[in-house]
Amino acid sequence: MLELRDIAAKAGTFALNDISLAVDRGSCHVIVGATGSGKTLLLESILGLRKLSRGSVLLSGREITNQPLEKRNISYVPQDLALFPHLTVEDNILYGLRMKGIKDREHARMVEMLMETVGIKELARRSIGNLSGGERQRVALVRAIAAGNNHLLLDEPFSALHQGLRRELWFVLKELQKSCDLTVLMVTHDMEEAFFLGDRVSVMIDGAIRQTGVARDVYEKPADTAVARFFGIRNIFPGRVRALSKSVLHVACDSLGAELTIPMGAALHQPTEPGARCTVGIRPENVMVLKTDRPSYVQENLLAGILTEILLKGATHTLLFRPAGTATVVEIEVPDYALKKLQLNVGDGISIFFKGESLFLI
Amino acid sequence: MSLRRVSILFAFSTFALFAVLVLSLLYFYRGGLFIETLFSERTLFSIRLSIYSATVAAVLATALAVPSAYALSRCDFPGKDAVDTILELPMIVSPAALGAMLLIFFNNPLGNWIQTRGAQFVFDSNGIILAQFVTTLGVATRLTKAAMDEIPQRYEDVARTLGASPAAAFFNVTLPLCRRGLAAAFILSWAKAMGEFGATITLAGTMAMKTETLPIAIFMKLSTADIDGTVVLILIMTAIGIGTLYAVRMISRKGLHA
Repeated sequence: MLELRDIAAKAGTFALNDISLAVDRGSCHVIVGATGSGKTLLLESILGLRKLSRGSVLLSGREITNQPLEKRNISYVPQDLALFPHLTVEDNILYGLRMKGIKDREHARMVEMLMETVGIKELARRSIGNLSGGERQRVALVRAIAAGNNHLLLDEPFSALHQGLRRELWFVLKELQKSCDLTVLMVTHDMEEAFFLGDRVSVMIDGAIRQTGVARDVYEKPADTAVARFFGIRNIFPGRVRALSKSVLHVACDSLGAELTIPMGAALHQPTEPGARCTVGIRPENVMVLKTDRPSYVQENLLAGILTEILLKGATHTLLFRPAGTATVVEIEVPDYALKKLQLNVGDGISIFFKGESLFLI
Repeated sequence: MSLRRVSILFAFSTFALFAVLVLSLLYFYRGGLFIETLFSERTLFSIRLSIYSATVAAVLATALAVPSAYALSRCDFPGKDAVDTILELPMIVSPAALGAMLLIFFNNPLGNWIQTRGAQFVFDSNGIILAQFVTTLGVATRLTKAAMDEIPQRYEDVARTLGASPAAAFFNVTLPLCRRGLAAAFILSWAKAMGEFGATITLAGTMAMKTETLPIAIFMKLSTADIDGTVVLILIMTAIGIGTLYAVRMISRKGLHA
């Protein structure tokens, strides 16, 4: 288990603020954040490459804050991979074992198996300069694991690869993590990567962790507007609690010209009294488009208005909708097949519907 | 005229300037004299002394440059700027002044003590090595630092996460990666030491068959108006110099990391 307790560190005028995190043994924790949010600085602080201004780092309950880098038993794969260009693939991979003076057959077999698992066994004698991007990533991962450290820090290792190869390597990493019982802390700016790989996900904004949780919860219920905006959710509307019961909240959203009914579970911080200000959000892919009049199963959260724009993308498309009597724009993400089926045109009068459980309250 | 053409013209002008200087030597070139001078005992001694002293000085300068360059490239420490600036001293102060500084040093109590208890430097072949070492140390350190700056610190960091000590990471990763830069630093230091004159003559003097390096031999031939002999020695030095620079170009062309 890797534990960070109230870590603070500085790099010029940028600072990491009171970061606390626990990565369970054998799990993958992904920190997702924009470029310049402090992700790399955090990893460097954990490794001891940056001096902490306060806080501590614990590995399996043992404090390693002041340990030299080589004694921490944490492997690191930086963004540029830092494969040693003067060594062959095999020498790169065996570097850690050689430095630790480990020469037994069992380890050699383990390394061979690792190379076989990720499909680089036949590259053993190649020089690093002759590898493709994907091969280099695989070598870097195997080198980090072969050193015998169970803790692994990954700094956007797949960011330079195209989407197809990146996805392929996500599976490779997942397989290695499970088969080698690795505790992984990874940073990335790619949300899809974070939610795919992370057992738990943290969102980092301006040097601070704004939200941590199980990947699905973080995805569905952003903790604040900054996190929601980081996830690219533009459907954020100010509201005021009109009434509340044990099970639902009734929130008046003037900008939508409607009153929304939201289950209590949708709020991370639940307002306690009528009149309280709040913010309501919904992911574009959770907005339902209805071409017909109110169907029987829709009792609430139905808005009528005009389809103002259709932005064609690929597998999914973005629709812009303006509720009647307002200037607000609601963003809707629809799959390609749904758009074809609905046969929508710009200027059509349509209705949209928010499922109560898809709404989140900030 | 386009910028490209103007720049190429300037490049050829520089080449032409030096080519004319070298070719003008041929006006005084005598084939028979060349062989006679080249194989004379005094010239061979000068060549041997120059190669020996330049090699020892360059080896010492490079050996000392490696740890210093590492500190300047990788570490922050108080006085770093002062150390970095002083490397240029041999380029700012004339070689003659540098030789005079050494001579003055060996006339103070500490210098005297070194000379009486240790090795003799003033008017001795050791003085040649010292003068060449002092004039090349800055260049060797500067070039070695430039080679190390090219190697990202990240390599050492990753090596250490894999279990290497700082020293092991340096010797196994950084040093092999900058070996070509290091070789270039050595060769250029050696070439500079070979051509060193001012500091050498001031500290070691001009004793034939004792402290007469090739540049000093050229000076002595010229001072006795032996133009033909001077030309022969200059051609020998030019051949050694151009051969060295060609070697550096070959090394650099293969790339720093190759």
